[in-house]
Amino acid sequence: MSPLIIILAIFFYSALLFSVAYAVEKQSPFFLKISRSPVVYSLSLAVYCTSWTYYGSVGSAANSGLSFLGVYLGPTMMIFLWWVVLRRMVLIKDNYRITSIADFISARYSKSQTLAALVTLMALIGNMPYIALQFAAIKSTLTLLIPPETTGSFWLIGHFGPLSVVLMTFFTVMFGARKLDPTERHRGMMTAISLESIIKLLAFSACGIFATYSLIHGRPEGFLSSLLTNPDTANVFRISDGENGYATWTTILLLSMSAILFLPRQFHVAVVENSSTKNILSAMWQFPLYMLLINIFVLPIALYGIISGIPLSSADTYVLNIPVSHGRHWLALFVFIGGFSAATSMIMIAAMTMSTMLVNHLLLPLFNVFRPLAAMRRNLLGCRWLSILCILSIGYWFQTKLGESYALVNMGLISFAAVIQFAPAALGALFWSYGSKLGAISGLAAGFSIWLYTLLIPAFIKSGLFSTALLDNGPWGLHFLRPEHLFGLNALPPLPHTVFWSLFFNIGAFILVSHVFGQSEEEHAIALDFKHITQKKTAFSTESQEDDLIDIERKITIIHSILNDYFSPQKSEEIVAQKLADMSLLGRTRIPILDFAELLRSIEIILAGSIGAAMAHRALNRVHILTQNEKTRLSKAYAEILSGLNLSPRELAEKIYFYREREQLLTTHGKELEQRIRENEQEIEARIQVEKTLKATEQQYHSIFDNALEGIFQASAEGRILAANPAMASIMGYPSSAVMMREVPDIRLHFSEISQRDSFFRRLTAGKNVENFEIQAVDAGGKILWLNINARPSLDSQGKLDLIEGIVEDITEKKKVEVQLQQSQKMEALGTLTGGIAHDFNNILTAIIGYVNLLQMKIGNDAVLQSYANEILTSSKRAATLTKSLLAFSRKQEISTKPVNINDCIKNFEKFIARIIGEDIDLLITPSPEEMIVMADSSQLEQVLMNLATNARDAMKTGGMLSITTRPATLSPRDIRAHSSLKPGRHVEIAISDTGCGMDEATRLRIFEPFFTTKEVGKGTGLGLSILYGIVKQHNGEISVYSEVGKGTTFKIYLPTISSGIENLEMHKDLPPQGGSETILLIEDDSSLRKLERSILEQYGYTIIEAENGEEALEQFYENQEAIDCLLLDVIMPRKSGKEVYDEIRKSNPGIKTLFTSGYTADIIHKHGILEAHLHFLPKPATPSELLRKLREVLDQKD
Amino acid sequence: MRTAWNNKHIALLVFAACMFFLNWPFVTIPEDNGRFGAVLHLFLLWAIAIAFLRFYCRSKIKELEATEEKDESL
Repeated sequence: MSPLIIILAIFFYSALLFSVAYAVEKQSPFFLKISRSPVVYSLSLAVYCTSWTYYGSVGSAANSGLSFLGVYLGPTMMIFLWWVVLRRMVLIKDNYRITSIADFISARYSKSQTLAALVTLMALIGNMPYIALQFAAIKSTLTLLIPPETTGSFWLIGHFGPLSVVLMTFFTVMFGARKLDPTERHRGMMTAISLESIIKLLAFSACGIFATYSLIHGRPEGFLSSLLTNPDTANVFRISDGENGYATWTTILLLSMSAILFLPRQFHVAVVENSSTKNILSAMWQFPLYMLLINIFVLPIALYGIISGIPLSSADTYVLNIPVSHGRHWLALFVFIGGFSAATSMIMIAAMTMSTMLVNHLLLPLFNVFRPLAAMRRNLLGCRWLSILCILSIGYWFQTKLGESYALVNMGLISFAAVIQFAPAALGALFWSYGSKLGAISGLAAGFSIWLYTLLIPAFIKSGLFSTALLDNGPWGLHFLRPEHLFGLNALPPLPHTVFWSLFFNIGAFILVSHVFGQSEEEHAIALDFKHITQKKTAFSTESQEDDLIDIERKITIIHSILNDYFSPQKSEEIVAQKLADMSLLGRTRIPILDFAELLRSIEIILAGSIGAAMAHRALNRVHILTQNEKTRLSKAYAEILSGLNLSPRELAEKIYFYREREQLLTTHGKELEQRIRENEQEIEARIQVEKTLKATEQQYHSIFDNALEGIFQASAEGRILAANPAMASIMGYPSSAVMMREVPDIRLHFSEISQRDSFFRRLTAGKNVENFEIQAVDAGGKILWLNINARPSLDSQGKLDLIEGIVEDITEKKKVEVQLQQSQKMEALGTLTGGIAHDFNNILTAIIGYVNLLQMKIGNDAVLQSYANEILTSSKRAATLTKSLLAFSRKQEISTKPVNINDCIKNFEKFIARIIGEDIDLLITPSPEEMIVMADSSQLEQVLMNLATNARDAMKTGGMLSITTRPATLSPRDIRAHSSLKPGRHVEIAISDTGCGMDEATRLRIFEPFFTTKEVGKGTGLGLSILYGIVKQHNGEISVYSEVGKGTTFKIYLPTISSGIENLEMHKDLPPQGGSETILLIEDDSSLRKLERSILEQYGYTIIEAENGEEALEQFYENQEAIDCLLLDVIMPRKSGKEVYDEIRKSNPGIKTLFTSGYTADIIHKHGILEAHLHFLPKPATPSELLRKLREVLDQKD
Repeated sequence: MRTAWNNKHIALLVFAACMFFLNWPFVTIPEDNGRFGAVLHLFLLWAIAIAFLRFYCRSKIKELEATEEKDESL
């Protein structure tokens, strides 16, 4: 056939389509009526039948038998569910203004841009080769139609592709993308597609009738049966081809069931272009009927093609080959036009839908991300047109590259296998409310990856584009990952294998990820909306009928002009644009009439804000924005709403008033609640602050309470401890506060003195504080304590004692020190008293002894008188010894201290001690290995040891042990608090312990008192320990006693040590008294003693000048200064003491010789400086010989 | 009868029936019987399915129209 005829045919056919589409767009009544027919909707669905149906079915039938029928039976079976599935999708499309399959899926899953982009990408990759297949079909059939030797054939064939691209781009842009709003229906395009469906059915049927007639006309009987046995034709009647044929059959059924809804072009015509859900019911039987009709002649054409001898390799073009081979050129041309229709309808719809997805979900996000591309947002329509051109161009280019390769030939089912990946997410969107965005993305990504790896890449490999190593050995030699035998599955052919694994991972990932990660609240709300879309009833019909749409371009202009009277033009445009955007109507030229009424109302409200409601209403009604027809339609729409509500106008008004009032009340209530919530929040904030402060205070209190050194307690009026800090528990001998609170039922039990207890509680019950109340208490272990309590009562509302709160201080140690101090002070006072008495008594004794001595001298040899004198002397000496003991106790006797090694002193006295204690008692002496030297009078020390040994012997009547131990001891200031005689530093401790009967506390406190004794009358003077006490004190030491009844007693003596060596002791030697002729000034306030001393001295040749007191002594001295050789003066005298007289006299005679006498050793030592090297002292009472000896010593001393 | 056609479960039932009769293993029965069994089986069932769809959709349309009339009369 001449190429020119073909070109003309294509031209006129295209013109016809163009005219029909244009007429519909221009709303020609006849064509508009046709375009609204449900048949157009049904026929537009036939875009499913592409050139793959037109040519490929025959080829498939000839080569593989009946398996091609699965592509059409699948959709038929799916259509049974359309009233449930497709209806929901259409309703959702109306509610959410869905424009594509990507839009639909992303709308359900939180309007995810990622999901939409992924679906778009999958659709592009899956469908681009399908578009290439259409171009390939057109090219191959054109080549068949035009013999190569025909003039111009080469040019036509070479340029037909690009020309087709231009033509289809133009048509698609004109009728599919003239406006930006993708929700606008394309009636013209759909009508043209429907016409194409009719043409292709008629053309195919014409060829089919011809082939069928040719097949059976003039054939012998049994011809048809012979077809079954002919090996070339027998296969045509079989479903299964080969071992896995049924697997492929089932897979094809499944793929086509999903393809009829989820192929982007099918979704567009079935869902987006659907104007009424009622049309679905028409399409549900009309479309399957169309598919049946277009497939009726596939077998006859295939059979005739085979028996005509046309090679099986050209079976795809049997439809055209048959009329061409029979010279039926016009039939062939008609058939070509049919095929051309099949191809171009698919191409145009696919390009239109994919350009929408490409711009909305890939390019627009890109423009938003990359600033330099942001300007493109203002030219989205141009982007759409450009994308249509690109898609078609790339499709054509794809065809030129792949040619007749394996990939292209099998691209139909490969695309179906890509599209089925949308099914889980899409069907999940409709029926499963727990599907999540993440789950959908995971499922789609997993399924698409498997599809890519197991089907598309192998198709390219088999087309020769890549190496076969991947197919044979798997990636990196991993056999179990071979694309067509994934994870070792060898039982399925490639297509079922891919569908199995891709759906497995897709559905698995979708369900698993959705369950694991859950969904957001927004997702769940949308999910429920999707699931219950059919129950959604609104006052406005969700099925926007075509009749309810009105053209708003002119009306918007009118509104602008009205608003320009009150606002600036820019402001007017902004107001209208904002309201349109709020109602999602921006960019649309035709909108439902009810939407327009709402738009007008909202603009009126804005205008009322400036000029008042009445004026605003008048302004907008001044000009007839709506035509009479539109007003009628609006009234009808309101009436429909009213009838839908099933209310009379009066009832409607009442309900409106009721709900208005209710809204007001709810608004007011809402505001009150908001206010209350604010107040509550403030209160909560304040409470939190208070709690924080409280917690800080509590922590502070606990810190003080728990860490206090004093015991703090709280008890009930009955004495039960309610709270106690750790210090309190520790003081009372409990391991913890909790134990104390648990084990002490009543604090009164801890008072050891009932009177103290009663006084304490009496005061508290009277409501008075108790301050510094010292009590004797018993701790948990029965130990006696001294406590100082400060407590306060807490009274109840009736004034009765409710709680006791107090602080307790352990003063046991302090009390011990006080007792010791009291004891020391008592002993000191006793010492002073006894010293005074002893001194006076000493003076009397001196006189007695002295005169008795004189008397003995005068008596001569009279024995009787001598015996009387001896008796008097003996008694006097006994009295003198007694006073000496008292003076020793009062520390007023003279001691002569020298460095003494304690250990040696004790050692030297050991034998004497042993004799004292007897054989029944063991003596153990344990000296310290360290040498310890003290300044002491060793004779005094021996007296101490003897005294203690004697007492120990008396305490161990039945035997026992006496131990004497020495050790060094360093005393701190704290150790010597109660002992004023001690100084801190190194001391020697001499411990004398016995295992005798011991003594009680009362006895222990009094043992050092003079005349105190536990022995029978006449058995002891009671002065022994008193003397011992005095001796230790005179040595600047201290003595303490520890005793327990029945166990024994320990005396501890502390003496300060020195570091010097020992000097030899000098013993006093007895010398006969010597007289002299010197003149002595005798100063003595005691007259009898003065007389005695004068007598004694005059008897031995001295000249005596006497004075009664210090003043008289000075008078006498100044009168007899030259004669006086020596002074003999008493230290203690009234008005002037002996020391003062001496100092006075020394001024005149510095070298005067002086001998002091006194009964007060302490005075001489501490106050009168008598121990200066050149001063001499004679203690009283002194015998005449001692007086004479000492005086002579002084007089004989060299100046 | 009208109620039976309207019932959505009928559609599901027929869908299930088609899935059974048009799928493996049932399709092996007419195919193994030889002759034109498979062809007839498929086309016949297809035609029956379409016929069912026709009646189902028609009754559905009538039901919808009746509902609309009732709403309008109210």
